[in-house]
Amino acid sequence: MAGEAFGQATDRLVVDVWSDVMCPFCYMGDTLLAQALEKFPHASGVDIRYHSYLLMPHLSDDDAPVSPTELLSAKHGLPREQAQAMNDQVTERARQIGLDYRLDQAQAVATRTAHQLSHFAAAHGKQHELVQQLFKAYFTDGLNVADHQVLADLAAEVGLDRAAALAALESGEFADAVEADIQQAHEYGIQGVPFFVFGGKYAVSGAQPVDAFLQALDTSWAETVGTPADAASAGAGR
Amino acid sequence: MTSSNVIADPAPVVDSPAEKTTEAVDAAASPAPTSPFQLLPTGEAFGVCDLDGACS
Repeated sequence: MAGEAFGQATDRLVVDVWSDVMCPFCYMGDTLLAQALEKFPHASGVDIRYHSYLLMPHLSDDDAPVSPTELLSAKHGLPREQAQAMNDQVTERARQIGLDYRLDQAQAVATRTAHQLSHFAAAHGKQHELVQQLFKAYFTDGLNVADHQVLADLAAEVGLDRAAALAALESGEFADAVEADIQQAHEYGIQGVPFFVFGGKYAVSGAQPVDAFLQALDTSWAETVGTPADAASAGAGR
Repeated sequence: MTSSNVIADPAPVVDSPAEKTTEAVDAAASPAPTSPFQLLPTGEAFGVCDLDGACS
């Protein structure tokens, strides 16, 4: 069942991530975690699972796409210039870690359907690739990530069956899985994203520098899986 | 099948909910008092987006 239980397999470390497609720090967090994993010696033993979270739950599938700057301005009563300045700051943070944000082209939409596609991809072992494609589609390519045809194209780009993806979206096959993730986030008291849970025990809130993610990986790996080196040295000492 | 059970069989989150300590909790990043997770202390975060859509 989606979201019901998290944590570790017996010999692997599971990292559960709650995020939203339109969340700028989620894309950064995912990128920074990936950079940390490149430095983590046990990266091949780490599984990452993405869970759905809605930053803009009031948006519906029937809403027309809107500029994120306009949305930010309207939602918080900010002058457009101030909203633009905030987005410019986010864009600069993204640039510093190698991401190309083009928020002037982005189309803010409801993301429930995109999350359904993430679950579809998970069922076919392609969730991480698909999540990365979704982020890029929204933040860089200015695509409408609520459009079923766009989503099906993204699925195909990561090697998923386009027709099957489209059918899953049309049928709402994974709608309940999305809602279950959202409900569980609420039950866990998650109020902001990205939110990372390592080994079902340790949590990190927000996008963090690479070193912080490495620390979280080290700590949770040692507790949930341990290292062959540790075992070998322990045995040698007996 | 969902993202939650694709890779590994479900397992309890924690055998006994971890207690949050002042050392372990980053107060600024604490999601809620009911969180079953132990928040790791971190340095300056890049940022987080809240439910109202505000990112900081």
